[in-house]
Amino acid sequence: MIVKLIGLKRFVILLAALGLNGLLAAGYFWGMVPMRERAVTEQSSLQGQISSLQTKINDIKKDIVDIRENLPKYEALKNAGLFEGQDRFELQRKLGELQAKAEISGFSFNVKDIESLQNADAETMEHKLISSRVTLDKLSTTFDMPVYDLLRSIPAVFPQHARVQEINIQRASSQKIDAPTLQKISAGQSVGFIQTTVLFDWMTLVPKEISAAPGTDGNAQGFRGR
Amino acid sequence: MLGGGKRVLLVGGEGIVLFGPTARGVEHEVALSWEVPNFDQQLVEALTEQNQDKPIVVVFDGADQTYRREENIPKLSMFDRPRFVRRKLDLAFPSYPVRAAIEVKPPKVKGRAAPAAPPSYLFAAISETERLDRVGAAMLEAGVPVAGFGLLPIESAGLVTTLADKLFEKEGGRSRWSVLIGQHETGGLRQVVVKDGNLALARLTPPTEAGTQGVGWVEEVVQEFRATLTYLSRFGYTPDDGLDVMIVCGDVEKQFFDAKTMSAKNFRCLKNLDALALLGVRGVGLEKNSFADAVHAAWIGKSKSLVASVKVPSLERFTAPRLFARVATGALALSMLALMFFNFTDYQAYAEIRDDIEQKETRKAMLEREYEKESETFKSFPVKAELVKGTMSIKKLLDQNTINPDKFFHRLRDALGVDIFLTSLQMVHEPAPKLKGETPSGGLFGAAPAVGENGKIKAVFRFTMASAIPLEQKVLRAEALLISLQQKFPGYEVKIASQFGNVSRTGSLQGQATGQDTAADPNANVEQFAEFSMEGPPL
Repeated sequence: MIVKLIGLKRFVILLAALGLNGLLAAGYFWGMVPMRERAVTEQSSLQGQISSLQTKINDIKKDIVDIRENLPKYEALKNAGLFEGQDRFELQRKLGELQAKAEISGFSFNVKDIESLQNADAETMEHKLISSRVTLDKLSTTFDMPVYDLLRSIPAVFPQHARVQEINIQRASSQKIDAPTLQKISAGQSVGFIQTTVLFDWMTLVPKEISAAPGTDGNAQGFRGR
Repeated sequence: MLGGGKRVLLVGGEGIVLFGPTARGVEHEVALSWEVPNFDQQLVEALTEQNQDKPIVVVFDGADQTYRREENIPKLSMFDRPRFVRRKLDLAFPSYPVRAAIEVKPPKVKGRAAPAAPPSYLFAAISETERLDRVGAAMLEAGVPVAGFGLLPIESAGLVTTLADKLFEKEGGRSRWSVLIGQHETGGLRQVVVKDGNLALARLTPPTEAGTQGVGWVEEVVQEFRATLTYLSRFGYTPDDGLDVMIVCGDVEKQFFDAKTMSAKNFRCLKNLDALALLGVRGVGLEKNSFADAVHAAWIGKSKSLVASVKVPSLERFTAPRLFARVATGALALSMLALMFFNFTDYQAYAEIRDDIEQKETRKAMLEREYEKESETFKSFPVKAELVKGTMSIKKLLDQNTINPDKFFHRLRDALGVDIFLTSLQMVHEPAPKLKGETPSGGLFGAAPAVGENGKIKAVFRFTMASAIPLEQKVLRAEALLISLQQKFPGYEVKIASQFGNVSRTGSLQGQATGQDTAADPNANVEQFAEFSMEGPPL
């Protein structure tokens, strides 16, 4: 009926036009558009990967520069004892060295248990920052200069790393200045005019999984001595 | 040639005549009488025999046309006037199946603009459509395209004016009234009268015994013309207006017409071929034909469009779908172009993206190689980067929280002077909370933390002075020392924790007045000292 109304030629042309439109529309919406979207997604993904790679390369180059710059310093710190395990016998030897350097007659010392300090950088390195509180007591000197010498010697004996926490210097009121005392002084003997107590922290880095010596819990214990 | 290659089908009381376009001319294709037994079939064959793809203008030349003048149409907007005119038309011809309204243009006066007048319309209607229905059915059967439907008198008003202009303009000047008379093959003597370019009157006299040629026909023409003149006088014709008369006839009939008896200002008899020549059209198949149909067909065929296209239901039932199909095809063609354009532009964009992807893949491969190379260098170091980095960071933290007490002691020594004897000195360096892995204390609203990143120094010291120095002097000396310490230790909070003899210069006081120097120390036998406290950041 439609063919008769509009004519066969017109009908065929209309059908052909509809068909072509359908093909073109299908080609566009189901072919071209998804294809283009996939290409855009792929492009974005590649761009992201490239940016990520560039960032990684920049970071790694920066790290390489950092390492090259800091490796000698690191080695120096390591050689100076920053990674020591704070063995108590070694500590005793160091305190002896300290006494000798400061030319002090002697002192008592008290070392507390090793304390593990929270530190994010140490965690990243899979290490722990440990600290031993050392108290030097009954430091008796004629004058206060040896005390200052001792304080200056601490960084030399414990180069990596010691920090002074407290210094307590008292002039001993009980010590009289009399002839025997003056004789002692002129003989080069020490007279306890000055009584000093020094507290300092010996701090080092040790690996996290440091294995314990048999019979111990892996931490160095407190220590006393003279 | 018929304008735009159109065919013209004239439909009259006796039959139909079909004209088709030829090179620079018009060809008489076929004439069929309604009485022919297989009229419909023959018409279909004629329509499909030649020029089948040319659109056909159907022109009604029958007697069943009615006209009415409608004047004084009120001034309305261009949106309201068509609706008003349609309503008037419906009222004028309520039961006529075919109706049309044509606006009558005011007469043009040479050298002056047309006088402003209220618009008027000519209403036309056809009462009977049986013949048109038969023609429509045949056209549907033949599948030929239809260009439109018109009424001959309305469509030929321009023809009359044009012929009169060409014949009489230069000779004696034009008249206001013009009439074209001719015998039509479709049946009848057709007279079309035009006044000032507008259709004034149309008459169709059915064929008589006088025939369509010869003396008898001439006498009939004269008689009918005179009858037309009486009609014209009713429409306002006066001899002063002038009348141009044109008759299409053969060479023989020409001899029998007497211009003097025609009461015309201008009179001309001309053959159909001569009339066609005036229109610039050649006639084919008209050598033995003296009918005027071809002249009207040539004029209508030449025109780009009908003066008044009339809607006929039997034609409309297939012209409307065909128009829709044409429009739809046009729209689909545009849509196709648009889709092709979108496909093309999208493909171009896609191709560019693919090019870019290729370049990016190349770049990515290059970066991967570079990264691998740098990674090799990185891995070649004896120590891991995190270890070195972390160690440096921790070392920095330790250094920040480690002081050299010498600095403090030297500055303190400078401030004390030689007249002050220290009896005790306590100095504490509190490290920053970060060293112990604690969160720095600070208010929720941004108050500064209590301890800075280098920790804090707290110092307390006691001192004495020579016992011979009066108390008041010692107190003054302690106060002076306070100021001196505040200057030498900027940023430090320095306080006198305990003044010599616990004296306060503005506080309470006890003692005895013994006549001795009131500034003398009443507690001369008690060891006197002052105690200071200091707090501030490491130097």
